Amino acid sequence: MKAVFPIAIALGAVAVTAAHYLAFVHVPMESSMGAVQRIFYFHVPSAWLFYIGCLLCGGASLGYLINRKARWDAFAQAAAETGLIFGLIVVVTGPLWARPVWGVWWNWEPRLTTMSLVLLMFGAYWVVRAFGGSGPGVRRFAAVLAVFAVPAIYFVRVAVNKWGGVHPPAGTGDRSDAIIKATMYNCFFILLFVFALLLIIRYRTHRDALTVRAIRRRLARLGGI
Amino acid sequence: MSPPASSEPAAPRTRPPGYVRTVLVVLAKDARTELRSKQTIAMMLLFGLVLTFVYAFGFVSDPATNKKVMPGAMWGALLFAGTLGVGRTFAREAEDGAFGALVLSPAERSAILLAKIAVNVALSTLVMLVVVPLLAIMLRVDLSGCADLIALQLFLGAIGFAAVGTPLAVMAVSARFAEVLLPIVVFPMVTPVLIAGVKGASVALGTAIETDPWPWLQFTAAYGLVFGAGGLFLFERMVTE
Amino acid sequence: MTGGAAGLTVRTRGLGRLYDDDYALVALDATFPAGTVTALLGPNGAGKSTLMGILSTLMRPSEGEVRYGDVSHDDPSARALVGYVGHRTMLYRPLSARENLRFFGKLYGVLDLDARIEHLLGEVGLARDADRPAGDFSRGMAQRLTIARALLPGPKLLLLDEPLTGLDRAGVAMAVRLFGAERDRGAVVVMASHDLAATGALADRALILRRGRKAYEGPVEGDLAVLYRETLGAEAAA
Repeated sequence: MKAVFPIAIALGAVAVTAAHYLAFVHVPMESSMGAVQRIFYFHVPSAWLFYIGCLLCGGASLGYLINRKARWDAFAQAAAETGLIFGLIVVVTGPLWARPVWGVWWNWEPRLTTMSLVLLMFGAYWVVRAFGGSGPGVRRFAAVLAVFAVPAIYFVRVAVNKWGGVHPPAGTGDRSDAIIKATMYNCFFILLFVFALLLIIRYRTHRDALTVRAIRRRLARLGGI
Repeated sequence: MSPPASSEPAAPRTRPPGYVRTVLVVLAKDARTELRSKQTIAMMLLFGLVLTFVYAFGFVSDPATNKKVMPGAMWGALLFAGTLGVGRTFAREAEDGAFGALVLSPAERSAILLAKIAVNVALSTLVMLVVVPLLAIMLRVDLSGCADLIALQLFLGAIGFAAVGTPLAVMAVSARFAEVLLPIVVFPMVTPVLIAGVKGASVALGTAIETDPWPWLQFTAAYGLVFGAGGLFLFERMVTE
Repeated sequence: MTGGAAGLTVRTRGLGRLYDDDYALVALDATFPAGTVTALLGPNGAGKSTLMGILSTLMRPSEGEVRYGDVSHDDPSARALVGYVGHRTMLYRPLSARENLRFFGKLYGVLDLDARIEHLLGEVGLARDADRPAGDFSRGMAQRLTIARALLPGPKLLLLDEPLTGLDRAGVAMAVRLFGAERDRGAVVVMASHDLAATGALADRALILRRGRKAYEGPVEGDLAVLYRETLGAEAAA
């Protein structure tokens, strides 16, 4: 087991390099947007992974509320943190694409708006975990927050879509040929691999922190420290 | 040593209250507490008034612009004053741990949450009854044509807000920096209510392209229903360790 | 005595509770018979609060079960059987002593509530201060009110976690007398207190915990403090 992890990380590094090759060299230039469209091969899969992280966090939090196993809570926290990393990739790459294509850094495109609101929700979750303390009460607070956030994503999406009225023309275009789609999926699976690695690392960190706390308490009970 | 001599029965008979009765008992307790201390309502009202002036100084302009600003000002006031309210109502429960005794009683636990949501809706409604007319006067917006619609919207919005804000406020009590964390946590979650409210009010005031405010009202109602039901369903899990 | 229904026995079977990733309480089998006072003792972190929390229904066990007579811990009706005095007063400061009691009495559905309240206010010595807000009370008076609140519904299981906090000498005597009366009417009383003298005066039995496990369960014959020291040895100091 010990040997598997470094190999997996090395594999991840190779895969990410391959993703860059696919996105910047292998796939032909998209005709209407030019080079800047290539950012989509990272932007779009990252957005999917962000939402996957949110759903995993919500699901594990619900599990924690039901079974009260600290490891479920640790997993929920890890999923939110990993998801947030990809959320950050989305909001950084989004404006980079928007500026040359739309001529503005920000516009109230529904998907972008939804994404940023969900990012705020899970940003709040992260703030609670980072600064709110680590007692059982705070864990339940965070869990409730994550469980509420999942249906809230849906409501935000509906509200934002209705609010935005007409969609601006979608970016990827329906003319995209097979190779563009294939590259998109390839990049998604590569990033998914990275996502899983980060999630596992983060989960292990939180789980080990639990163990350390448990050992500390045992020692304290023995009157050691 | 004196024996515990008394004519009273040593073990009283009990019959735990039903769901509705529990809600009413908790509501009555909160009303009595609030009428006595007037803490929460005074703070919320004052905060609402301050907000009115902030909006007035920030946005007062020509009549057409004022009309466009009005929905945002109203709903902003509801959210800000509401957050203050949900935080305060639970600060009192947490003060001496009384909430623990409430939860330990045989009363249905979700009924306690329902009562607390109702309290917060009532407080927000009271505050809006003062703040909205005042905003209308200061921004010189005529609400007479659509007052009923706007009132209904705000009421539904207050329910949606309380349905999300109340359980989160209960839970936040055990976190550090609870007063700061609460708005950070609640605001993104209630943006759908804000969006629907502002849009619906614009439609009612005739400043939007659309003409039918009902989809927005239905949306707000659905939001309150989903989170209200979810909160009541999960509350037992929230308050036990 | 009227209405003093026969008491029930509280039993725990294989009771365990995880905290973080570690057991705060391990496979505890214990019996609390009706009409007895059990002193719950142990060093800090031994699992007393966890056991109190589980018995009160505020905490869920990770493993095992508690039975209150025929009622299981996850049956909501178990809550009606328990009276609890905890570290905090659990009172509403703006409400008067009488209003506090009336509110909780209604939640427990106590019949003949007003008579019961007057009786208890007299017992805890708060009859003259009954209409003052609880927020004006000294810690000792608040503690008296807290005890009255716990006794209000005539609990079958009375959990006392440091119930003597803030009480003066007269208050301690009053509390000891009231808790003894609860036992005499058939209630199960479980008491955790640093005041071994007062606890010893009441306790018929002791349950001593060490590192989440049972170190002693049985009758108290002679001095409770001696029993405690003999059971735990060097750890008793903690």
